[in-house]
Amino acid sequence: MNSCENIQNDFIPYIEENLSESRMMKIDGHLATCSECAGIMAELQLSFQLIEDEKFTQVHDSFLAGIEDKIAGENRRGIRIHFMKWLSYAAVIAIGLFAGYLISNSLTRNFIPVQQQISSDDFYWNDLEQEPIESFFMNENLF
Amino acid sequence: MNEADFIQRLKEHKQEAFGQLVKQYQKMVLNICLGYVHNRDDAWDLAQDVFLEVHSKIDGFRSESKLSTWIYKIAVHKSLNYIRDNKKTKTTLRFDQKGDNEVSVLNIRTSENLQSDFKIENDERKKRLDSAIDSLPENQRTAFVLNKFDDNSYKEVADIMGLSLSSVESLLFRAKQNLQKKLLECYKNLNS
Ligand SMILES: [Zn+2]
Repeated sequence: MNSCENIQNDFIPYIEENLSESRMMKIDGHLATCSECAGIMAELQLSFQLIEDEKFTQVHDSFLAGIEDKIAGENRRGIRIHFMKWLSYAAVIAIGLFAGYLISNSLTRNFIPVQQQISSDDFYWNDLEQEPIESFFMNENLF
Repeated sequence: MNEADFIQRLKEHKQEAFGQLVKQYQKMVLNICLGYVHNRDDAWDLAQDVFLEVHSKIDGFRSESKLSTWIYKIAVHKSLNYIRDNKKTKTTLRFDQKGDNEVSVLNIRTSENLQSDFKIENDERKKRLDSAIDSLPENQRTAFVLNKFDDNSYKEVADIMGLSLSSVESLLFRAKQNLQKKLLECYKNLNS
């Protein structure tokens, strides 16, 4: 492994100052004389600085307020869904009752004329009462 | 108050307990989301959704792990889902960003605006860094994010992730080696 590669392997611990003092000094010495490694190190330091610039260090109270708003919104939506669910159940029951009423109504309407028809046609279960057997046999047209 | 009592208060839906929970873990959750989605606004929205899920699922929390471990897992899970669901949009955005940059390059070359030049360089640098972080396996990535973005010590990362200290040392060593390798490759390609 050449000297540059050996040095570059410790670039991240060097940025984090997570090396022994002697190792840090060795890398400092190399960077002072090698422009390629110095360029890479500068680039790496700028990249790690991006994390430092971007990360959340303090959080504004609006973060919690936003969550509470979202929860309130979810609860309102939940209540609305719950209400709509019960409303749909009620609608199904109402439609069922109405349909039941309509069916029973139409049955009653059809049933009454049948009764009326039986009585108006003088339909008798007991035919003998209507025409005694004697008169039936005496009807000459019968033979 | 110990964690069991605190969890009990959360399950009783005490509002001040939930507020305390958010305050305690908001920075960690925001930084985890940022480490995954690489955009502060998206991370802010996503982190709020993480707490929404915590709020709705706290009744089912069985205390089999620490509260912090449970919350970090929700944050990682939601971040991965977010990335998956927004992959198409993100690609389009990146393409658009590149388009903007190309327009800016023309402007800069004519006006020699060095400040914008630096911004473009920094945008490119950030893309390389984000892509290097994205290439890490999930556990290495989370350990790195908890350590570098959220400033947790190795011991704290181990506590949050519910792992041993030696496992986290190994994860972070490999994460940093992998990142270093990826970034060095990028720089060498840029200069060759
Ligand atoms: Zn060198």
